This record gives sequence, structure tokens and C-alpha cells, in this order.
Amino acid sequence: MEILNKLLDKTALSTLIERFGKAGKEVYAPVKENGITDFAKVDTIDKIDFECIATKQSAKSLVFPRVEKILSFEKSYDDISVKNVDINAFPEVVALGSRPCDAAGFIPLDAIFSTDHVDEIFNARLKKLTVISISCKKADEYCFCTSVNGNPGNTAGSDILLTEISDSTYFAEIVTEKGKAILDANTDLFKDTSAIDKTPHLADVKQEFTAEAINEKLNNLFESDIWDKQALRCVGCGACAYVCPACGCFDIQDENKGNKGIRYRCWDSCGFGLFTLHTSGHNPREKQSQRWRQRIFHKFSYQMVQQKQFGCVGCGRCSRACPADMNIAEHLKEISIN
Amino acid sequence: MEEIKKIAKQLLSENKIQMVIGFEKGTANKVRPAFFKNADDVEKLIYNDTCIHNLALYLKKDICHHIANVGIIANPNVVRSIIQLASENQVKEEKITIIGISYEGKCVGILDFKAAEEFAKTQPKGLKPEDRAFIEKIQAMPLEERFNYWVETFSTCVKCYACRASCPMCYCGKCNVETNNPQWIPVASHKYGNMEWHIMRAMHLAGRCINCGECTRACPVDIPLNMLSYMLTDFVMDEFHTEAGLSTTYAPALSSYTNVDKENFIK
Amino acid sequence: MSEFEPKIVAFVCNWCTYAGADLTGTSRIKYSSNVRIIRFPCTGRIDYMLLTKAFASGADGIIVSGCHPNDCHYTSGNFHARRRWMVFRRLCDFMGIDTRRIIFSWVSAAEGAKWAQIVNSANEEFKKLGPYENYHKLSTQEIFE
Repeated sequence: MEILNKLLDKTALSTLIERFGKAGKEVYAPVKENGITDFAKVDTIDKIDFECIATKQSAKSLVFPRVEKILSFEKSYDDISVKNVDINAFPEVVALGSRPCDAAGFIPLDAIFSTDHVDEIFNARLKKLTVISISCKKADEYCFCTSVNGNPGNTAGSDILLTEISDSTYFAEIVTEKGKAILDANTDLFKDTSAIDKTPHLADVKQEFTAEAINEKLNNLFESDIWDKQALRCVGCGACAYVCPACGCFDIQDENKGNKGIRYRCWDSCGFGLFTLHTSGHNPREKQSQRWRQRIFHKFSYQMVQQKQFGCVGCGRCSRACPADMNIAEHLKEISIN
Repeated sequence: MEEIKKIAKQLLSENKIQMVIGFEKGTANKVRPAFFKNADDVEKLIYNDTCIHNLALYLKKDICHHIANVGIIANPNVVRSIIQLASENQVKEEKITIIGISYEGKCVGILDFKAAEEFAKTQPKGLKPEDRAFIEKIQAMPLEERFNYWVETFSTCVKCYACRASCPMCYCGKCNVETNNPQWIPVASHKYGNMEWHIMRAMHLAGRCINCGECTRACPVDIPLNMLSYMLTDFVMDEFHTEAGLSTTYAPALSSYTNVDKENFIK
Repeated sequence: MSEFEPKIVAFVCNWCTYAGADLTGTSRIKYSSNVRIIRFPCTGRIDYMLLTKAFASGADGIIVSGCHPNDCHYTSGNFHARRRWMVFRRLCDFMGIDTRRIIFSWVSAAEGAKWAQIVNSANEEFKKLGPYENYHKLSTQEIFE
């Protein structure tokens, strides 16, 4: 679809939220609570934190929740009944005020869940998700979207991208059919405009390397000692993977009480030793450096081969969350000039 | 800082130690743990009051395994962690050189374990006033409110185990949470799974925690989980008059006993 | 509607309380049948997580019982247990888990009557407190909701 250019008054956002609510859609937006900004359900515009550069956790939990029931089962005397989760019961969700990197994160995530096997649950959620992103006016030292084919005004993954062009107005780009549906339902709120150059209204994120260069370098780096060197201070937690908008690894577990129970999937991380531990006791990724290598290789090599998609959008969340200040951009830059 | 560098350089150049664990400049204004293997590298070493990471953690990681003697820049928290680890037979004196730094940021030179014990005793101990206030606030809540407070607080936990990974005392090769035949603690980060994990964690650290606060600092969602172990440290102090991290011959509160322990709650 | 009958789980040691409970039976002393006794080698073996698991599995109250101090079959198991319970009780209290629902006792192999009295009074107490809905709900909401 060709991008439609519109103008949207900032005050119209609250009307929009109200109408979403009336239409039975759940609106999730960055909300600051106890000092942390994260996506949370909102019903008014007042709660939304528009100033946040990037929420602590990504928006991925809207389509790939932390813990998610996939089926339930019940055992009777001579029978077992299994019931799949009802994918039609998922709510319509609007992600409002996500950043272009959040939106771009849905693309590699979708690639993970739709290559080879099409994951019904994930796709059902994604289908019901509308992403209204807001371009970045500010960036911090962790941001590196421009180095991984993104930018602070990137439309990829968003259904509508808003860019603040004045104190009262957003420049709205209607990117997809889903976005157009919102436009069509709210024509009174959007005004026509010709294309506007967003650049003056965007944050300046310096490009330090290219994802292609990393991809190229990795061909010869599997046995390199760079991994040992970079992973020295890594403590081996899963914080990076859990805040990442593009990490899709999960674990499947059963839990029951008496004769009833559920099977669920929950996040997992390649940073954990247990992730690859075999029943025999052998662990192919025994050391933390091997797990760090896996993380980089998966995002910049394997995913490119399998899904024609890089698994990193440059939001920098992993670096912000890391207790040992493993700055991924810095490490990638080091790889790119290795 | 110059003094720390001087000591580190000298130790390295005389090959008394083969590596120093310290800090270097990190992203923006942050500092981060760094490992210096030769005297020239030590130029990059920094120390200031933002160097709060508990470096003792790395003594139990792969990185120190094949090094004959590791030097470590040790603020009081690190010193206490090392003493506690020593009391649990996790580190050997001949493999560690402690470069002590007081809570005011003053270098106190090289400490052997005996000196480290003495040093640790002179440093501020116990709960900070704001932590005590927090704990008292919780204790003042009615039972149900307290329960709901923790359930809600832990509900944001994503189970990344950064708290475990950054704790020097959590060195078990296989954590109890990984016991999966049968699954002991639920894998999922749902409310129940989170509650069980945090109960277990707090109990395993009772009488061993040295109140460094690394767990909460590492937590990506800022859960005040250190308050559980702080509260227990305080309790252990009141009841058993012992404190972790002050003596290498310390018997952890939960693996020792006296025959006069209180039992007014036992029928 | 019939009166609420609490589910009670008793974690007891093999050498004293279990034998004591046996004596209660052979002495033909009547006591509350709400209790489900689980036998352990020693109170020192009773992991605190088992207590939370019992609550999660639907228990409304718990009894933990073993040998009197100095009577432990393994010399010090009950001393270790005593400390662990002190700390665990404190943690439970801090986290809002109802410590009134966990009753600790020493019951020797000769105290059949005491066992009956402990269970009966626990039963009365738990009846007053009602079902432990808070914890039950916490542990089941993910499965049934």
C-alpha cells in the first residue's frame, strides 16, 4: 500500500483512545509507574508517557506474552480431554506511542513464528494488533537503530507512524491497510496534507556500522577469541533477551493441579546455561562466551540465512538492562572493524 | 585512585597476580567491571563512588578458574563477600589478593583474609535508614495487604534471574530452580511462579546475604527484592547474633544451631 | 450448607511424631480426621518449600512436628529445623503468608494424647480462619482462569 500523508491534532489522540475503547479495542501505551516506563493498558491519554526514549521492556509481550496458555487438559477416569486455547477470543489491541524500533521488532518476531511452521497463536495476536508509533525526537547513547537498517522515523512495522512536527500537531503516515481502517473510521480527526520532510523533527542517531558488515564479518569469526573477550563481564542472566523486541525463544511447560492443567509457553533465553543442557549432562554451549556468540550469530547471521531478516532493531534495551553494562552497539562496532 | 593503580601495576609487573578485577569507563557516565591482565592496561582502571558492582561475583566465574592469583579491587561489600565465600570454602586465600577500599573510597592497601576480617568490622554495617523505613512500612501493613503488596510487586518479575546471576552467594552449579524432575519451582513468570522463586531465593540467602544490594541493582524491572534478604539478615542478627561476611570461620545461621534457640512458637 | 472442614497437612518425622500418631490410634483416642499425615525421615528434611507447596495444593493449614530437642534420631535434625522454621516464619510473616496456618510442635512417640490435642486444636483454629483462599487463588489462577 502506498503511504497516505495526513495531519493529526495532538488533542485528537484522546478522542482516538476513547473511540478505540468504545470499539472494544484495548489500548496499550508507555506508562510510567514506580519510576519505570513500560507498556500498560490505558483508557485516557493522561497516563501516557510521551517523553520516554524507550520503555524498559519492549512491546513484544502484546503478541508474545511472558507466559501464555496454549492448551488446557483434564483427565477423567478413562479419558483425557485437551482443549486448545481459543485464538478467536484474543482482544483487538492497539499499541499506541511505541517507537519505530518497537514496531520494527514485530517483523523479525513474525519471521521467527512464521517460517516453516506458522504459529497460530502468535499470528492471531499479531493480526489483531494495530501499531501506532511515534517517531523519536530524542535518542540516548544506547540507541543504534541507524546501524541496523532502522531510523528514528522508520515506518516499518507500524500501521500508522506519527511524527511530532509542532507542539500541537502530528504528521501521520498511514502505512498499512490496518492503519487505513483506523483512518477511515476517524476521518474527522485526520486532515489532508502533502508529504512533509520529517528529518528536522527526528533524533540524530549516528550510524556506527552496518548490519550487513556484521553479517559479512561473522563468516570468519566463529572460532575467534573476540567472544571470550567480549563476554568476560557477562553475568549470564537473561535480562537482555527478555527486554529485546526481537528475541523469540521460548520454553514449553505443563502445570497441573489435580486432574486439570495447562500447557503454556514462556520466555526463555540463550544466555542461560540450562537453555542448551542435554539430558545426558552434556552442554554444547558450556561457557558464557559461547552463549554470547550464539546471541550475536543468531541475530546477525542465522536469522539472515533462515528468515532474510536481521534479529536486531537497534533499540539498545539489552544494553540499558544489562547489570554489567554489556553494550551491544559497542561490541558490534568492535566486530565490524575486527 | 592513583594509589590503587600503583598497587595493581606493581602486583602485575612482579607477577604476584596475573589479573586484576576492577572497573573501567562504561557507556556514558557509567562504569563497568573490567579485567586487567598486564600493567599497561591498568591505566584504564578507574574507581569512583559509582563503582558499586559486587566484583566478588567474578571470583566464582570461569574467568578466574585458571588464574593462579587474582587481584580484586574490593570495597567493603566485596571484602565481605569474599570473607563469606571463604567461610563457605568457595575461595582460597592463596588465590586472591584483596586491594581494599573503604566506604569513603580510600585505598587501604593489600589485605590478607585476617586483615580483611578486621577491615570489614570497621566499615558501616547493617541496614541503611531508608531500607529500615521501607521494611517497617511493609511490616506495618495488615497481613492481607502485605501479601497483595508482594504478589503485585513480584508480578512484574520476568524471571530473567539477573538477581541470581549477579549475586556472589548464588554460586550453585545447579540452582534449585532448575530442578525439573519433578519441576520444583514453576518455570513461568506468572504470579505464583514468581512468589515461589522469591521465597526460595530469600531463604537460601538467609544468614548469608551481606546486604550489597546487587540483586536489586541488576533487576531490569527494579523489584526491591533485596528487602527480603535484608530483613532476614536483620532477623538473623537479632535472633542468633551472627552476621555474614565478617569471619572466615562463620557458621551460616541456617546450617548451625544452639540448643537454646527460641522456640516460643513451637507447641 | 455443611460446616467448613479445613484440609490439614501434617509433616511429621518418622521417629517421634509419626510413632506418636500411631500411639494415638492404638490408644483409641479420637481426633480430627481432616489431617493428612506425611511421614519424613526427620524434621531436618522438611523443606520450607514443601509448606508453600501444600498451601498451593489446597491445604488450609499445616502442622509440622518432630522429636523434642535432644531426642532427634539423627542428633541435630530438629535443631536445624527449629532455626529454619524461625527464619521461615519470619519471612512468611513479612511476605503476608498467614503464619497462624502453620503450627509447629514437638510430639514424642509416647505422646499420643498430645498429638490428638494438637490436631484437634489446629483444626478448631483453621476452622476459624476459614479456607486459605489467598494462596489457593495465587497458585491456581493461571491454570483455571
